[in-house]
Amino acid sequence: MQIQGQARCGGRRSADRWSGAGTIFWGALGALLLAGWSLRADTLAALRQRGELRWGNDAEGGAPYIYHDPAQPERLMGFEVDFAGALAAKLGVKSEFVQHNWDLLLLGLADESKFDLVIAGIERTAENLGKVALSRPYFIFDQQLVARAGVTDVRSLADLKGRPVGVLSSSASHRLAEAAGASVKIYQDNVNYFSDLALGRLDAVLTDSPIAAENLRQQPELTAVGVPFAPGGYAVAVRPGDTNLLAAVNAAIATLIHDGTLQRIYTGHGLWNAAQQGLSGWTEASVTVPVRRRPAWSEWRTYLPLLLRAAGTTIWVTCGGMVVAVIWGLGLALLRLYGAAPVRWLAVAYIEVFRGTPLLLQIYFLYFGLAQQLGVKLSAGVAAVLALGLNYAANEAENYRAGIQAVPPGQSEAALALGMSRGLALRRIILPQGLRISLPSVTNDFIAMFKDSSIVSVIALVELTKEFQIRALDTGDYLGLGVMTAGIYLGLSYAASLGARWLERRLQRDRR
Amino acid sequence: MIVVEQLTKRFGARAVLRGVNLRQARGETVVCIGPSGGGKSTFLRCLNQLETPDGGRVTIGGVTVEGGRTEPRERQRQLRLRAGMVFQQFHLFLHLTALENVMEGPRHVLRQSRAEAEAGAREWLQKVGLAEHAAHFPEQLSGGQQQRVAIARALAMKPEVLLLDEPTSALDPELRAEVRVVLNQLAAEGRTMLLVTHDMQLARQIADRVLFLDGGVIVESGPPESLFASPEQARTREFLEQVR
Repeated sequence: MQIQGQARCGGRRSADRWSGAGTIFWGALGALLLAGWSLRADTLAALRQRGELRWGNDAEGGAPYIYHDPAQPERLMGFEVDFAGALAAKLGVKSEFVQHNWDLLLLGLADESKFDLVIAGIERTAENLGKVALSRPYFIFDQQLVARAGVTDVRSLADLKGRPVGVLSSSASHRLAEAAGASVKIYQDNVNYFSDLALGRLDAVLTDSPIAAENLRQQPELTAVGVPFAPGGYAVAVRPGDTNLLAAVNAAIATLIHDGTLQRIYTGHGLWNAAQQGLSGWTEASVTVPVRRRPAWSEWRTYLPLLLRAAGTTIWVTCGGMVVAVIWGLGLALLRLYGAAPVRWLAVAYIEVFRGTPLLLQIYFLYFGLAQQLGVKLSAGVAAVLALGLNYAANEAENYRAGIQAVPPGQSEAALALGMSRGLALRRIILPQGLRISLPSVTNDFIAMFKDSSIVSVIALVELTKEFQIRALDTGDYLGLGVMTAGIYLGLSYAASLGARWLERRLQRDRR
Repeated sequence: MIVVEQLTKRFGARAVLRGVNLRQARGETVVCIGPSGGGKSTFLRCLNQLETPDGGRVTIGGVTVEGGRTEPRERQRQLRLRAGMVFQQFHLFLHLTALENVMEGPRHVLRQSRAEAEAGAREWLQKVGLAEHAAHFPEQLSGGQQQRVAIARALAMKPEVLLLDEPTSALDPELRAEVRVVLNQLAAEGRTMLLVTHDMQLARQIADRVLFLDGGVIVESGPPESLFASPEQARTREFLEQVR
């Protein structure tokens, strides 16, 4: 099911995806649509009439699944692109790729106007069969364990009990590694865990064999460990009830297997192996009866504690980030207001750079950039707190500056006239008043940071939004889990704003 | 006590002070009057370096600063320690109570102990008649009360001279009276005060000597009785007729 290989555009992709509240909203909307499947027309008849098969996938998935030709960026390549072409040809129509955010592909099926089916490394599992209808497998993948070359104490999954293992979120690898008792680090894509493995932050990566093969070719410092295991199949996903389309797709895949088309395609991509023999042996009888998962809503006793535990991460990352922002922001404001010219320019440059570039980019820079180029290996927690803190410090500096400049000039004249040095006047007279003026803007940012902190999940920290996504993907219950998650965020913000108001009241005692 | 020699100051193309001279003895109260824009406030602000003069020399209590250059901050500070300042708009520290306002300088500039600074501050508040308002913040005080706290704040630093920049101008007539009472009392005690004002009644009451400042120079000076009754210069006469 994992297909995001070479996330060339990892940054943009994640930025789209990680506006936490947005994800929850669209997820909940999709869940509503899924719950009310009602087909207006026979998709097979419609696509034949139209003359094209519209298939959904995410072009950022990467090699060997789907990727842009480096020589001709507008041209798509990959074994799934070729498979989709062959499938469309068998159905007697043209192949038309439709770009869709990978996470939401299955939910996107609910919208008939978008695409007819999904070809995107969707695993044929009981979970997925509970959400959509799946064809017979068109590709057999295995699980492959990857470690650093020369490491001798990692021979199988059993050796990794309690040790950090990178996996793609909500994948078969994720479940297998968790079951083996590894300390699972969850990633959004199939690139960064290889980076962290090379950097020594992980002891191993568990991933699908095509992804392992592709990356091992590029990173000689990594090596495959043991033999591939736990085979599974990628299947075409169609809307439940689209029985004509499902039958036609199954028949077409059978033909492509028996006439050797698939073998030719996979060989061309260097993916054909003995495991693919299993494709032809597959029978209708092995189809599990689709069972809808029980919605998480009724199992809130199980899921609420999981979400609350993840909220703990949200809280400490936010509080830590705010401490950094409040202190460093004050330093920046003072440098900007009172520093000598070059120092002042540096402070202005810092503020503009950190305000003017995405937080996500800054997190990647701190966590991956520093480690790869300078050998500064920050832990995910430290990198998250620093990134939030350094970014928000730029905002806080401007809040402080506004507050300090709002103190009437007579205050500082009166202080100087008393014989105070400029430093003493600043410390005793200007700052106590200026900081009080900036307090509401600063506490406002603190509340906003609770929501912004969801972005740190890109460096394998499972905070509240990430936990929600994992569980929602598992259960398909975006609505129930979304309501619980939103409730927790609301509780956090409300508690923070109560605290802020208390603090403001305490400090304003003298202003009447 | 105060010696001012050929003090000049320009703001851009406008010459605000064009060679002001003054010798003021210890215990003397000098009142500076004159039309708005005549340079009175600038003169006072140059004396304690809130403005940097362009030329001339100021000596207060033995500390001399030269115009036309940026004096070392410590020299400026030494001068300011000898010259307490009272502003037209009071400028009390808004985040501190009346008592804390008066304690602030002794405690953090003169580094007195908390107990010593507090005892001194209470005495000064008592003197300006505000002992019961010690715990009030500036916003809870009337303008007259705020100005009296500001006077106490300046005096608590035991300056050799007190500079007052239109201390009654921002006040309603009935509040002016309470500030005048305090200033009269200080003058009677023989404090050295240099006061800029539009308040002719106050000038008559407390001045040992009156300066008429116009066009950036001292046009005329003399004891209040004679200067108010029979000014020598036509400009002085004109001004006094207008404000009468």
